Amino acid sequence: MNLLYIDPGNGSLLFQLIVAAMVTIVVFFKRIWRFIAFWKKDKNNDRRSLY
Amino acid sequence: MIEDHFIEKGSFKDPNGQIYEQNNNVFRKIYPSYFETYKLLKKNGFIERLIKKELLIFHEEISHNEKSIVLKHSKIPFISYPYEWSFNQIKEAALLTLEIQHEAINNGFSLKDASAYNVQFLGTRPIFIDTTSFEIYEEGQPWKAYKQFCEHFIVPLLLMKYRDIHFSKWLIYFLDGIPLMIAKKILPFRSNFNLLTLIHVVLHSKAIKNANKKYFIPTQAIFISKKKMLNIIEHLYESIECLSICRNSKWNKYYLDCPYDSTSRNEKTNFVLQSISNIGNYRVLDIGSNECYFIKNFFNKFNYYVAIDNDPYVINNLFQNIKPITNVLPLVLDITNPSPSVGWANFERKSFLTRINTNNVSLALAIIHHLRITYNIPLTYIAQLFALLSKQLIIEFVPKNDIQVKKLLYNKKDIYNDYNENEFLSIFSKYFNIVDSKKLTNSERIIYNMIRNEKNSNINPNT
Repeated sequence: MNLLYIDPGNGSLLFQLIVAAMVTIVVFFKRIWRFIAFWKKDKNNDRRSLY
Repeated sequence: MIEDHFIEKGSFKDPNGQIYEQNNNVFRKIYPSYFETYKLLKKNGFIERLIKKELLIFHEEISHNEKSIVLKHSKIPFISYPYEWSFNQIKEAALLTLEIQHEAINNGFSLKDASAYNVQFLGTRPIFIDTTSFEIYEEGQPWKAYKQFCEHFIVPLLLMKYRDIHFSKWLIYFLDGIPLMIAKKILPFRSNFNLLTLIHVVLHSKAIKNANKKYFIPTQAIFISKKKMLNIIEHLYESIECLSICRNSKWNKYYLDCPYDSTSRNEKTNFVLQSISNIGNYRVLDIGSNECYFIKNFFNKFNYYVAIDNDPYVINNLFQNIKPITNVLPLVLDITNPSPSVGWANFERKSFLTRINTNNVSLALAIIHHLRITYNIPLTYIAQLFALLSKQLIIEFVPKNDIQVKKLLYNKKDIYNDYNENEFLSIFSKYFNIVDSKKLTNSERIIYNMIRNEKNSNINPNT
């Protein structure tokens, strides 16, 4: 098999499975942080978000 | 059948449609291969919602038959490219792309490409321009444009942040984004502490390399739930939102050193405003704008204002300070080396001079001494280029006894015998009729208002 004929995007699509897993962990810790920040009434955070 | 000269050749990569321009209007012809998706986009009300939220450019359907659907788009006053954007402009374009992808997934669609060229700026407001970039989303499918998004947006932003702000100019050479493999080699080790670098550049490029060498898994076998896909988009959005550049350049405080007192500053502003009060629908082109110190309080008087400067820091600050104004477009552009035509057969992305056209009202305030003395450009060449760009020119002549010119000549042999007011006037009056002039109080500087002499308007600086 000539490896040059493999779509270079294939690794990228597969990699999204790993990204999804990593991001799930990141989101988990972020939510805990947000929960703490909410109780600390952190009003300085004016960043935009998609949530 | 659309005649060849009306077709926007840069849109040749899209198999589902074609952009063309006629009578100063922009149209998109959609081919039958995209009919099904387009009908769903419309039926769902998704397109309308994006337009309402000012995320997608306004369009109306003007004809519909079995061979094509034709949409008429609102016209973008000036088309700019990612290699002309500052850090914050690239960042805003990236956030817009992610916001649209988030909306799309929630509505059963996905962006099939995430090219930075699908975003344009209406002043400082980014807007998505490609209606045929959407495909139907089936739960489980990965984001096909993820790699493209990384190479078009994340890599340039990280290189600009961690290496040098001028890296955006690499996009002229790498038209389809800066490859992850190259970015991985260039980014410093400390950038790995940012998840954007670690995950989306370093590990991502390793995954691509290994996939090419070791294994091949069909995309159908990959399943990523909708919730996880939205998590990825949200994570990218928040990580990019956090990116910033804090440094400044010497040009940010340039005007603090300039010999203007408040009287001459006001005189300069008033002269410019009076000279261009009757410009109608013409576009103002501010060459070497810096942060538009003299004009920034009067932007509402202009139809559309394109501010160009070769310093990415000042353009970044200008963009950040004037947001969300929609009639001023700041661009990182060096007038001594404007963006060339690039891409396939050199027609895919047009040069700056082709896009800007010839009927601008140009401002060249305190720039001529830099062009003549710093860059060694002959006065005739300067006059020719300005005459090519400008129907009307407002130009500030900075004489040799001015402190700023003295600084330029401090360590340089003065070989610029032609750099004096008489020579300047004799050369510029070949191409322009001088209408008015004003000597600034407490300064030797003079501002001229000139109208192009149409007899000499067929100037091509290449000949």
